[in-house]
Amino acid sequence: MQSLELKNLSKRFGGIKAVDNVSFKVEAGQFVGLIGPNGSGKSTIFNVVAGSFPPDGGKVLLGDRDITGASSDVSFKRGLVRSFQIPRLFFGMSVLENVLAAARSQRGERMTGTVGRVWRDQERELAERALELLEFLNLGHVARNRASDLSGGQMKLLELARSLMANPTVLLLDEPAAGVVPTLAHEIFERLVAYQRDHNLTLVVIEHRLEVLFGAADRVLVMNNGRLVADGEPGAVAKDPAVKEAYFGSEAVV
Amino acid sequence: MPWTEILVAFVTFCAIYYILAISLNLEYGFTGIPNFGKVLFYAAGAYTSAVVTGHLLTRLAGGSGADVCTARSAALRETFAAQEPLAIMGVFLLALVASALVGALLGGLLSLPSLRVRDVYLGLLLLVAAEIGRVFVRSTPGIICGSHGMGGIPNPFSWVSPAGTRYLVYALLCVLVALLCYWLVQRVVHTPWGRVLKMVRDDEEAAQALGKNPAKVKIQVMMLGSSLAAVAGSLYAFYSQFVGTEDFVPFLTFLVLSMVILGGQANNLGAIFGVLVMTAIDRFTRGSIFSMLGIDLPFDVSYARYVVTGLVLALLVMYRPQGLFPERPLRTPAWEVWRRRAKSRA
Repeated sequence: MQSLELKNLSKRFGGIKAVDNVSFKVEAGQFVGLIGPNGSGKSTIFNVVAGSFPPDGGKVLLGDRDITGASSDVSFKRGLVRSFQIPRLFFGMSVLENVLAAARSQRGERMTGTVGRVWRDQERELAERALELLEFLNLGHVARNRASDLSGGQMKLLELARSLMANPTVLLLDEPAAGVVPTLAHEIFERLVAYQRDHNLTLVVIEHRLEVLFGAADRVLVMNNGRLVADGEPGAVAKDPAVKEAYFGSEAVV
Repeated sequence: MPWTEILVAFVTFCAIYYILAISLNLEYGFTGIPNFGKVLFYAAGAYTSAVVTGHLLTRLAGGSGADVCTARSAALRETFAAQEPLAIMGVFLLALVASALVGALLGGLLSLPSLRVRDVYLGLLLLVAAEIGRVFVRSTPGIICGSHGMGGIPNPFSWVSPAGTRYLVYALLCVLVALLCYWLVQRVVHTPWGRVLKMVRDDEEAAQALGKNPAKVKIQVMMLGSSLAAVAGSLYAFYSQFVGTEDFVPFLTFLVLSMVILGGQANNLGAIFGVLVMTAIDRFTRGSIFSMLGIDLPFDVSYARYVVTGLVLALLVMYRPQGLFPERPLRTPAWEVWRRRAKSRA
């Protein structure tokens, strides 16, 4: 269980302020939705928080620890895991291997650790868990297929399975249900909520399907032009005029 | 019996090239490091063996270490090796180990560019590094006998006669070393460590986001791969009994690359097929072989090698980029679990 806090975070790309002085705190065990129109800075926040690139200003705190500018493998070791908007699978590997790849502290991942036989028992345990996760996400039947042979929706699910296999304390999901059929999108979110409650996971989800997200999240943050424009319970945020303005422009409100 | 000689030479080269092929497969096929400078590490092994043999064996034979490049010094080593089995075999083993170490060090050093540069740029960088190394040695008389090369690197079985038996024994030794290298690589690769290599190959950034350290595994892979290539180079030096810069041209790297691509990326068993085919093309397009067999060709056959190798590479990339034997999942105990669960569900 860890909280995630952003303090005055900023990130510029050339003259564009992709993220402009954003501050918020996600409490441990909270399910937060992050929404906003395309280009409002949602994915950039993920990229900066997870260490894909450093911020131009501000701080990122994981629990009490300052992880500002830490590289992504370091943040991962502290419990922070992120998924990518466009699935970034290991396409030359099988589905099961993709999930196993995300497991933490594998003995056999060290070159010297491959010498003994100790890693083999751990590998069997990890495989049990990985296969359970795959079945949980309806991917059990394709475990031996190459990741590149999956459909777009299945790739999204595999990316989710991989994120969960990493046993995160804080998880950032970038559009986990994009490109999957509507019924499956609802199912993914139901399973996600069940998993989040069971594991007391701190969860931040970017999602464009508001009807799916609003039913699942405890709290919704709204971004527009790099700034945070609304923050509250889903019901309240849905009525907020600033949110309508973000999506439809100011003329629509008047 | 020219055919026996030709066959023994073919087996020796297959074994040596197979070590090079699994070394390149480890770097390129598994980890995605396009080491187009492969020949540099092969040369490093050959030259390390030449230096060790030149200095150590000459002194053991009672000569001076100052003029190892001369024909007299070479003859002294050859005569001595034919009479002293223990000395030459000891020197051979020492040279083999020294080559492996030098290869690992050089590989570690040249893995540093791979931390900053990727893909084709990295490939070109390593290709050029290998050529610079070769041209530098060739044009500097003071270094490892310069452009003249160094002879008198006796076969470790010099004391075995007749020569036919000697080369047969040496061929078997090369096959044994190749099998050992295969066993070693399979053992470290069909593990979670091997999985990290493939992660780095497929998506370095995603691998890092999942807590892996791509820089670390790249250094490890280049050290192991270069060490293997240097072992192959050492075996080559003791086979040809001579090292010279003309043996280490970039063509050899691409010959090995075509073996890897033909056999199949990240498939060390498939590479055996690639090695057999490409070594056959390489060995049997030589004028000397045809004259041994009493065949008089109206053209210079040795250039056919370049044409055929280029053609094989081009056709493969166009029609079967995954190779003849495609990549398969790593064999870890995970699949036992998968099979058991699949069975209990059915």
